[in-house]
Amino acid sequence: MVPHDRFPPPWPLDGSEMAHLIRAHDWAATPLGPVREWPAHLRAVVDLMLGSGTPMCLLWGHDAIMIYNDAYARSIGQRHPAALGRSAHDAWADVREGWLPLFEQAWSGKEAVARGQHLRFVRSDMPRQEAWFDLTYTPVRNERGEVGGVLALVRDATGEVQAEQSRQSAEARLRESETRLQNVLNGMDEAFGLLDHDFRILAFNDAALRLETGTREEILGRRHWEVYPGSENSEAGRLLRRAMEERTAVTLDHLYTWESGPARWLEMRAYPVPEGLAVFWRDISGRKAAEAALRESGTGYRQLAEQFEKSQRLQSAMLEVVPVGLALLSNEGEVLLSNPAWDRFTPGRRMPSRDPDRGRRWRAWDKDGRPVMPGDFPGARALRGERCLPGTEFLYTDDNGDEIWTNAASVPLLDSQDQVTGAVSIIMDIDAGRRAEQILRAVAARQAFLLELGDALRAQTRTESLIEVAARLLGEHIGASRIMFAEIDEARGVADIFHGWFANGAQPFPAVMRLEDYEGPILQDLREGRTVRIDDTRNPALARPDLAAIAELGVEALLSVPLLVDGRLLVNLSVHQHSPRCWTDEDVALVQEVAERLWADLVRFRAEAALRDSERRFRALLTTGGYMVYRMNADWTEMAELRGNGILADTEVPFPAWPDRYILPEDLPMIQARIEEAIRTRSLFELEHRVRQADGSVGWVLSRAVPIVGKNGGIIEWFGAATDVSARRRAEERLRNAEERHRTDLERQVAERTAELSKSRDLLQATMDSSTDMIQVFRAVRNAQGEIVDFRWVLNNHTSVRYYGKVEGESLLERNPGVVTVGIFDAFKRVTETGVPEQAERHYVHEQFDGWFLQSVVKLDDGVATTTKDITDWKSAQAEVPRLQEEVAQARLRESEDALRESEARFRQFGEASADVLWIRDCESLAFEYVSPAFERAYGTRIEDVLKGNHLRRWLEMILPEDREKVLDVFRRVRRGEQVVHSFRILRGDGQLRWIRDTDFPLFDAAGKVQRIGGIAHDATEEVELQDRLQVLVAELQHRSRNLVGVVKGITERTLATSDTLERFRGRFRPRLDALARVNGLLSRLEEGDRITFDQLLQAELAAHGILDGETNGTAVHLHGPKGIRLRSATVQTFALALHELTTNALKYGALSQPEGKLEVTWSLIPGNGTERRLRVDWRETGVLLDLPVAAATNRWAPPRRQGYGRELIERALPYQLKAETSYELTPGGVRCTIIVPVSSTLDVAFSSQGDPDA
Amino acid sequence: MPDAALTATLRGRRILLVEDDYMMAQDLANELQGAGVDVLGPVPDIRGALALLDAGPAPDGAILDINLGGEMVYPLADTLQARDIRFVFATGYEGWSIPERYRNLPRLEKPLGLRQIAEVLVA
Repeated sequence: MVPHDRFPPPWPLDGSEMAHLIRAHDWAATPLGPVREWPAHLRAVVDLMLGSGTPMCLLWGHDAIMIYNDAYARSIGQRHPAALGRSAHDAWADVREGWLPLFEQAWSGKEAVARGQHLRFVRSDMPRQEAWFDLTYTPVRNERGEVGGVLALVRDATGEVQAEQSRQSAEARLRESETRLQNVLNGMDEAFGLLDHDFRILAFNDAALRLETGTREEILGRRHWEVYPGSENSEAGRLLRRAMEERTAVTLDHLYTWESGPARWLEMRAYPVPEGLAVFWRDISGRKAAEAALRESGTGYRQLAEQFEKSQRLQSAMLEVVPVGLALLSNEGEVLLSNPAWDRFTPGRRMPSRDPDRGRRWRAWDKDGRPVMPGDFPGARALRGERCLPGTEFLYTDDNGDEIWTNAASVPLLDSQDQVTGAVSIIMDIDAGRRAEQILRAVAARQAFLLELGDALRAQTRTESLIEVAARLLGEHIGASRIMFAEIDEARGVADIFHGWFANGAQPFPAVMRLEDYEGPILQDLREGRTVRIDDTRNPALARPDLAAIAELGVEALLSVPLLVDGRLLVNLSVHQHSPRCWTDEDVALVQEVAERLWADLVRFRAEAALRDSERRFRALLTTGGYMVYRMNADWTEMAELRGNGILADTEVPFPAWPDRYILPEDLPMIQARIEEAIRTRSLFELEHRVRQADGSVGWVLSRAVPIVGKNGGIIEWFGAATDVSARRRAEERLRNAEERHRTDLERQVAERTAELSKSRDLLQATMDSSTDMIQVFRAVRNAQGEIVDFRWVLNNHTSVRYYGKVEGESLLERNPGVVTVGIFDAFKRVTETGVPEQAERHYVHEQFDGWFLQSVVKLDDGVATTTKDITDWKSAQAEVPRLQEEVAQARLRESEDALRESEARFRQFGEASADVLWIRDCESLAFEYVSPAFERAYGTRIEDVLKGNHLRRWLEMILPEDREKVLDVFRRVRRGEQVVHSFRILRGDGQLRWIRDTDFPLFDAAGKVQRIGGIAHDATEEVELQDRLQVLVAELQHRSRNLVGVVKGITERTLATSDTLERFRGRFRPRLDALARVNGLLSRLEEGDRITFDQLLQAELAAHGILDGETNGTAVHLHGPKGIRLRSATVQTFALALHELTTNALKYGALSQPEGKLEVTWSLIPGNGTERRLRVDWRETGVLLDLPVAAATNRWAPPRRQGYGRELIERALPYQLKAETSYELTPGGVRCTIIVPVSSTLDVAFSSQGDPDA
Repeated sequence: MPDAALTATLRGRRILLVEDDYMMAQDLANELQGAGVDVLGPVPDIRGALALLDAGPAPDGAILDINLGGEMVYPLADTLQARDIRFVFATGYEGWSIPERYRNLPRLEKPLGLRQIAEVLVA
């Protein structure tokens, strides 16, 4: 080791990062060995490398140990710094194929270069992991000239590579899009060329090429004027230059003649584009030729005719699908055009009124019921010029013999002379509606009839008149020959016939029929409760003895309803007809109903009659028995009636002040207390009290009253009877007085008073005898202990003697042991002991008695005096009255319940079978009581879902909110008894909006009060929609025709005002009418929502005068403006007339009358207020030598009558009616007229279903 | 009343005429003026009619065409009713295409005659 080696200067000396790393690296561990041992040329290369900004790496030795500079370090990403001092065979093993060949080539002594080497690795300084490098590998030789290593120079080419890549892909895309554009252009039917600003052709599509002889290459790059010689100074060239300069779009139809020979009409359009101009053109020679041919043919209408045909095809397609039969009839009544709905009724090609075979299938009646003759069918009338709207209802018989209600309407088709050229016939199937209406009417008629019947029956007081009235009403209503009411008496084997009613001229009928003469199925059916219904008793197919027997009596058709009571045939109601009759279900239902009602009334009637009888008998009984009878109202505030029987004054009309009449004031509180007690306990009122008698004296009555209880358990009234007990009272009083006197005098004056006493006794006896009551006096019999063990008779009055015979002195218990059982004996003992009088009602069925007795017991001496009254009759009457009342009430109840049940059952049966929704609601709650199954179909909701919770609310929820109030109002009206037909809208469960038509009618209870509401509903959506459509259609038709009449009237007056001779009038009037006819022709061919366009209108008017675009009679005519500007329908008529006036003026005095004249009409769309757009039309006549009748009127405010009709139209009518702005000027060269008018906006579909036509 | 006497009642009356068809409007206006009527209008639309109503003294009556170029005259009818001005509809329509609430108002079918106008508006 040499000393200087110990402190060698640090190497490499460079200040770069890599120099530092190289210095710090442990090279001794590598094949290179320590740095100080490195050869000089190696060090020199490293120094060179470190000083360079180019990425470099030295691969030393064949091991390729890597030494590199900062720039290289940066470009290899995360492989640095681990790569330093390592073999490249390790560090770059993954991309060996990229660099190893280069290394080997350089090792062999030859520089190696690779460009765009693609490497993929991670670089710390960039997000991407891909890089491209240009690599140069140069051999580095040692002192001996041998290759010791390889220097790799690296250039990052990533940016360049990527730029190239995106350029390539952009180019590819451009090529693709160009190809696509070219394909599109080449695929077009229309020729296309792209011109640059110098009119050089940049592009040229296949369609354009097809018109040329050269190739695309020959054409591209040449100027337009070279390719199309002569075009530069043509109108086409002028327009193209204008388009290029002014950057505006232009269009032109022109004829161009190719050098190669052909001449073609071209329709050309040019648009400015950044490159220059895009030009489209197409060969329209064919169309031009056709137009020319048209022009030559002189009609000018063929095109319109084609349009007409097209619209007809559309119309007939539409006709196929409408549900209304429509046909176009010729003058001869032949069908020119019809749709399937019409053919369904009229398969022949003639209208029914002129078709003797099929005409019979159509029947209609006028309002008086006379048949309508074929000559008065709507079609026939229309062909006579009459409008038959809304038409006539026909009953049409189809091939199956089914009858269908239809509505047939017809309107005439008139030509411009008002001559009939044919007719339009409309046939609608209204069968469903009519049938529903019939059912409804039948229901209503039946309801009305039954109401009438009910009213009539209530007014009857006799059984016979009851039957007679019912029979008459039924017979008249149903149109019967006879109505019979028979009572069957099986015991006697006869039917007693009650002659209910005979129609005028009806045959007589026996009053009694022997049942055995008529035995057979009829009687059998009746006995088993079945209604007999025979349409024709002489029908040979039936041939039965029982039928023959009744046929003998003039019964050719029979409807007989039996009534069974307890399974026995009791009565039957029969409808007889003297000719065969086809009974309908409705007839049967009606007769059944009448029979039941009649029977119920009869039962009630009889019960009431029995009651009346019984009451009468009872009253008679009471009256003859000396009773006074009275009736009081429920709370006794009013006396309804009192029969005083000569004792009390009678009360015959309800009388509130009865106490004043009958009661002594001092007794009133006591009596009232008893009355209140009786009312409170609802039990017998019973009181003996004083009364004012008819003669003004005061008497005593025993008054008793029972409450009469009504159906609902409340007291209706009190029924009372009173007996005159004045005599007894007087007797008792006297007895007491006498007894008193007797006792006081007994001791003092026994002897001397004996005679007097006996006299007094005689008097007493006489008094007592005058009473019809039993009066008896008993004396107690006591045993040794003083207990009462028996009584003995002391006195008996006359009545008593009648019952007992002479019993004075006899033992009570021996004669009448029953008194112990019944409690009389005990009562006597109590009264004797206590002195408190008693009174009791006793049912005494002992010994010689069997009845009810009222017994009063008072103490008399050591015994009792009794008054006993036989009240058996009274008791039985008392029991009888409530029983009868109950019977009547029950009969009434039964009747109404039965009728109700029956009618409900029938309603339900009808409901189950009906396609209509039948329903019944409670009148108060409006809850459904019944809904027929058809509900589900109509409302699209299950019935159960509606019947949950609050029915009304659930149902209302289905109805559109705006219709709900109306529907509820209907209920209010029906509650008042009205029948209401109304329609409302529902939103069904499935989201469909439907119309429901409901007929609501009141259902009355027995008292005539609306108890429930019934209804018939059906889905009327189609009807309503159809009706709406028809309404709009008819309104539109009517409006148009009236409008037209008005316009014609206006034209006539104006033409008259300006014509001094008839000749002149005719000369002006006809063309004006023709112009009107033309525009109406256009209008009538429009589809719904379509509009006439301005160019159509102008062309139609000009063409009608043989004026064509281009040139007419040597005059230049130029029409210029866009097609398809839609006019408002309301404006068309007046607009057309204005154009007509301009045209005829030009023909007579203006541009078209002179060879030098020129007419230019230009139009365009200009903005109006807001979104509104307006059409501006400029009518310019030039080169006219003015003739001055026209020029005279220049003051636009001159009175209208002195102005020309044309000017008035333009200057006044258009602004007035169409909100147009107009100007009309006569300039030295001719007329200049400008019209600016609002046009139809595309959103403006005015002919909507709301019936708001703007026509 | 004979026709002449009846139409004489029109003399001096102020009548608003609303009709969208120029010719019909002119004809009727002429006829009315001939009968001595002070014709207010004619105007073709509601806006014009309202402007006339607001500009001067209220007319004695009004004649209203129902369909004014697609605009229905009913709002004007409401206004007239509110101001207590008599009016008559002049129409080419049948009754049933008129909304319910206007159906019972006086209505004349075109073409109008002076006699009927006098009957409805004056008598």
